[in-house]
Amino acid sequence: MSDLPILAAETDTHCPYCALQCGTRLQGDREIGVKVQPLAGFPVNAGRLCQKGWTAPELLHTPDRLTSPLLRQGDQLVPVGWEQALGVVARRLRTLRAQHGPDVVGVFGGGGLTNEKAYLLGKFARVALGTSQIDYNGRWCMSSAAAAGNAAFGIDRGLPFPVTDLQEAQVVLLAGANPAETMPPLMQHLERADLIVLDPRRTPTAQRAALHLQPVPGTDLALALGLLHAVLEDGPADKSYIQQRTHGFPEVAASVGEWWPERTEQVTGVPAHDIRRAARLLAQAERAYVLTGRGVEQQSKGTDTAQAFINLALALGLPGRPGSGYGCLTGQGNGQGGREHGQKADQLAGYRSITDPEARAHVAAVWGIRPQELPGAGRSAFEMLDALGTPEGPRALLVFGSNPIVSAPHSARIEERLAALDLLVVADFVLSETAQAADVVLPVTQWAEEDGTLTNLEGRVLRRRALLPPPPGVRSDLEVIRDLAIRLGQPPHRFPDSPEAVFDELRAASAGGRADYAGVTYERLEAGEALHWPCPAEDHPGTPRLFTDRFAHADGRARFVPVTYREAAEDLSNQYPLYATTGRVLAQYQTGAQTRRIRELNDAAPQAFVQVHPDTAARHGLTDDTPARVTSARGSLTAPVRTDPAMRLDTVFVPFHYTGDGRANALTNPAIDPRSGMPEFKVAAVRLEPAEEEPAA
Amino acid sequence: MTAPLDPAALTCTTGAAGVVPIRTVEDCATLTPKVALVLGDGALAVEAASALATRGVRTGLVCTAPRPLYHALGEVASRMVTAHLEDAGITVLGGAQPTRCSDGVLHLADGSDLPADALIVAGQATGPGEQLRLRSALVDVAVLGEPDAAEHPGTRQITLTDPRHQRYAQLTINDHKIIAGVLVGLPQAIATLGLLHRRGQYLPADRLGLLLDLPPRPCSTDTAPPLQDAVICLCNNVTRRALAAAWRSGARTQSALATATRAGTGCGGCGPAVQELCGIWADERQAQEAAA
Amino acid sequence: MMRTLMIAGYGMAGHRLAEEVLALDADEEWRIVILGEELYPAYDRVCLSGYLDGRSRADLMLPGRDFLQHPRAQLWLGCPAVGGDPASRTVRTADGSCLTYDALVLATGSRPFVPPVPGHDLPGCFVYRTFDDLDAIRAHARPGRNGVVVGGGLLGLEAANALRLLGMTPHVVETGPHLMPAQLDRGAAAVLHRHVTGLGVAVHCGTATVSIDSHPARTVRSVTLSNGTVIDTPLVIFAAGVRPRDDLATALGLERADRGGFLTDKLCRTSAPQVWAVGDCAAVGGRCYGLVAPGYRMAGSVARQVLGLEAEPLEDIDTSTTLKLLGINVATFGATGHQGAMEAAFAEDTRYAKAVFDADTGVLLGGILAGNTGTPTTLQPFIGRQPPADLEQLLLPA
Repeated sequence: MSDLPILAAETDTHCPYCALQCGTRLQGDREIGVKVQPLAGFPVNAGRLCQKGWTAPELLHTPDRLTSPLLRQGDQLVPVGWEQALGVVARRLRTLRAQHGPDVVGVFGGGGLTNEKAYLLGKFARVALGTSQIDYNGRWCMSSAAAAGNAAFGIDRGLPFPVTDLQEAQVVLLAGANPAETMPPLMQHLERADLIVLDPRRTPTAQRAALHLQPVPGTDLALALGLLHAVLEDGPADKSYIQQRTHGFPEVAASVGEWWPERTEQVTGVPAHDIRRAARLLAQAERAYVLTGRGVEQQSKGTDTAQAFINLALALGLPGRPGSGYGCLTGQGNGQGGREHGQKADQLAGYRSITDPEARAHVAAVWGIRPQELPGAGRSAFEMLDALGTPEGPRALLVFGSNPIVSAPHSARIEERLAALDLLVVADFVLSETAQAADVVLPVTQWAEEDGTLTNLEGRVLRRRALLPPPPGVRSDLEVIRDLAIRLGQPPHRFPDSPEAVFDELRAASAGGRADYAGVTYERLEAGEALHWPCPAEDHPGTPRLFTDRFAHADGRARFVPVTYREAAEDLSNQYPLYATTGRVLAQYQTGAQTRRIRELNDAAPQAFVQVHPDTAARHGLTDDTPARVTSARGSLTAPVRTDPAMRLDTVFVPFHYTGDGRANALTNPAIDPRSGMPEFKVAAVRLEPAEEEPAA
Repeated sequence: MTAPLDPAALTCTTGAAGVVPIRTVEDCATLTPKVALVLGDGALAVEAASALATRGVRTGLVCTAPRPLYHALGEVASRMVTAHLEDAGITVLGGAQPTRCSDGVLHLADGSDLPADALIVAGQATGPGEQLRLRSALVDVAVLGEPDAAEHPGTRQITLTDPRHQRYAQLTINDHKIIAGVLVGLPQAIATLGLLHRRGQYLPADRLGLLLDLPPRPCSTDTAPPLQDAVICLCNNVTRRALAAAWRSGARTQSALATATRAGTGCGGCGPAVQELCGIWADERQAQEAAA
Repeated sequence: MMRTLMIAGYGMAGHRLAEEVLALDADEEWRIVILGEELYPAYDRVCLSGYLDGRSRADLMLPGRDFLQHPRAQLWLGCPAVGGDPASRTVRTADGSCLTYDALVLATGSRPFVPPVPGHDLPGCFVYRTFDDLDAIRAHARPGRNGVVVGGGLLGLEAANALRLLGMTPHVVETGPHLMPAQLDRGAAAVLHRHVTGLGVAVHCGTATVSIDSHPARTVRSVTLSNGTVIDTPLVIFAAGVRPRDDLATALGLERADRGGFLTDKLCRTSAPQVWAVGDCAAVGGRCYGLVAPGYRMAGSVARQVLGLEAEPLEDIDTSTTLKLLGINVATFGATGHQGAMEAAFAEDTRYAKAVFDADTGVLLGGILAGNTGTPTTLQPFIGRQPPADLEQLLLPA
């Protein structure tokens, strides 16, 4: 059995939610309650914390905590013992695999899982199940920026510099990011800079901007091309940087020839005057950053859009220069580690490619198997979910740390596919909406009950430390994975369940890969070292800043990658004349499975709403608080109207944290970006009307 | 309307003045004269002059019409365009009759001689009501919609004139949609109206606010929501009422209020507002104590 | 001891002054002596046209029975003041009386201006100010024939309406570029123009009267305009403006303003002690207003001063006008004359509204309205403030 963490009255750890991973100190126990204080000494949040972090300890005593496995019998989920639950799972997996082969089982992980869990889950999928069908909800986080970053720089790490570097900036372009609401403690690092905020909504972040560019949803790529045109026209691009550190500039410069400001204005609705002003601000700054977020990335052309912003950053000579750069603001707590260590369909530990023979050889050796035994690349998240229960697709799905019934696009399709499964197994600590649909539910630990590591948005490896033991009946994900692996015939030593042991193996597996964790140890982390990957050896200090000397392509140069504009995957029409965009609110997090169980957060953000311009509302027979129905080609949601005169006339906004009638993903378009597998969450065509008094019979 | 200038009609004897007829503004992208004269009345001439002046070339714009874009925009709007161009350093000469050029000098019928290194002939005229989005960093100009839209019965015309800042708009509206417009010096309105017009979408009720890019304002009938309910710290959902209660219980400084209510511990954006409230309440208390 | 307030002139401002004094004089210390030139008590000159539309003199009279029988109010009709001596506080009347006063207020009003064109004094030429004028016009009217009104302002349109009521075809001649040039802009005047011509009123703008032509019998035959038009007509009404009646300034030794009127400060005080001026004849701060509302404000302020009460100097005198003429509403509100102000005009076929804003701050300064628009009362509260989001709806209601 694993070592129990020592019962501590106090421990330093990190918030369970977003990629900022604010440093916190927890005090207390289950009897007296747990209090949280932000850590002043952790530079990322420097003593700040948002309302979600402040109230996170309430998760530890949520009354509907799962404390025993559940097994479906008819309509009901009935409490059973672990032996029975795991026995059922293993037996049914064996049967399905015997009938249909290894790809019959799919694994769906999460960007909130620790590195250890992500790694072991990836290993479990490829070794114990032998399936290629593993992906995670982090596919919907930074995958577009990652693909673009890899193409441009040869490597991607979210922020290739510590967040504190942002304090140096004179100008920061935030494209499709709303940190004032989604990462409030980040804002202290942006206080001195002039912000240029690109967002179709006038968010709290946009309100702080020196310049707010408010494009038509889905036209961000055109705006990026227009900004580059304006930068190139305004004055000489950083010629020596371009000549010495990049390839491919002339082709990209030529490709934006048609994107003069007035033409860009006609496509995006952003005034030519503001495009020129933004270009001037960026070009004249000595130190500037271009940061992208989900707004520009979660589109069917999200990778190309991120690419265009990277091209802009390269033309300005930003990446790799002190006090300047390009970065992507990762969203999920371990969005980075989750992908680096093997939850992604095409990746192995160390950010290795599953199709690279050298990578396969290395990892197979660490795992004690032959490279041929490793499966190839599988389907990306939505593609896998879309294939569930179809003749060629998986018939069983194991879900860890994810709630796809709420988080996946095109909810109606997802529900239909999950219902078509022969076996759905969900490991979670509360009965999320996806768990409610499962055949087997396995209760697992949550943040303050476990040890492990996560990798924050700066690529820094952080220690998560347990304050409390889990409640009786609850096991760790590592224990569950190990148990299942053994039942599937794996030797026990191959699946340790002690976090540190798993991490040590992860280090070996990632050694020599792009995301090299070989030099990171629990001991070094205990000693308080700030270790950003790559950290290839135990005496290596880690790499806070990438690209200072060279980029990661073989020739050391960054690439300008030309991209072409195309419109959103669906046009407005007479039937669907408005845009719908989705996003977050401060008080809730992701699918709300955690935050909707906390009273203070529910008081702040109790329910779904449809944010719309008052004139647009009036034109559709709606006023504040009246129930509205929003309908796309894929489904409807019903929620009360919240008018906002700063909204675009042509756009409605719905937050995606809610379920039932107010589920935003009922509307969203699963049109997938061919380079990243990212669905088009950020723009759909909808119509708006008053909801009926009574539901239709 | 005056006929477009024909470069052939400008007889040129020997000299450094290159006569460069252009068809698009890109045609002058490679020119690097020290002093340039652009001949023409229409959008192309104004775009060429803008492009040259933006690049630092000393530029003059010579029109046979009273002013550049006179026929396209009308009296008031073309006057404002001229003002914007002149503010940017372009010399504008209206009502001119060029006769010939020689030795780098353009001769006008009134006897004046204008020297230049390059003579750019942008002969394309721009007629009244012709759709237009001028390419220029120096002035924002747009013409959209049907030329005789104002003739339709039942339309509403909105005319905004701001001589101080050289801004102008004339919109013709039918059934809450824009059917024609001329705009100068109003970049946000041009962008928004261009989109609404192209898509045939409805205008907002507050057209004045749209034209002037004003922040949202209350209607005449709106009453302000109760002050105490205002959320001061968005990150922790702390209302003014909650801060006041904490202040009354003894939290008198920003950091004490942060400890009591968590205000300011998230993004920090409410800092100035909290400081201001501390000041207001301290003054109130002082005043109460003095009165007692 | 009863003190005497003498009011020279008995028009609308003079009557309001008397009413206010009586209302404020709780201690009954003052008696009022009113010296009126006309043979009738004060009447509502603004609604004068009603006199041709069925309303009687009695209907339009301003003083009620209580006032006419008030023990402390003496009305001397047909007995105007002709001179006096402020040093000895005396006034001489037309019939030779010499009266003393404790306070004197001049409310002599204004007279119509008649341009000195040839023929201006022919029989058939009239002005438009008193009941007598209207009786004369009524007597001379020829239904079915043209009638010419010289002056396209407020009064000219009133007179044109009067001619319409008398069955004649009015022709309005205005030297300015459009009707009501003092109050309206081109856009509002266009709406007014369309409306009045639709009612059968002919309008000649941008042209002046050159001569009134006569028959051999020395009655009006036609009017010749500077643009060459000759209008065949038996009747001409001059409504080309008014001049303040400040003749008493010489007799009383008072200062005149540059452009006429008794020169007063912002408390309506003339250059002599205990002598005020109110109404059309008063040039407050050097400027005559010629409008009822300012005249009433002056009357209110002077009434308080006479009784020894505090009175605010008249600032921000509201020159807004609201009129219903010929079935169309025309109005101004706030100040519309600022140079370099920003303007937003909203125009439809039959109505027009313009709002004027401060070019730097964007606050609403005033506006012009014509047709079925919002009223000045609705818009007045927003003067000096940022325009509300529904300003356009207030100006042009659905």
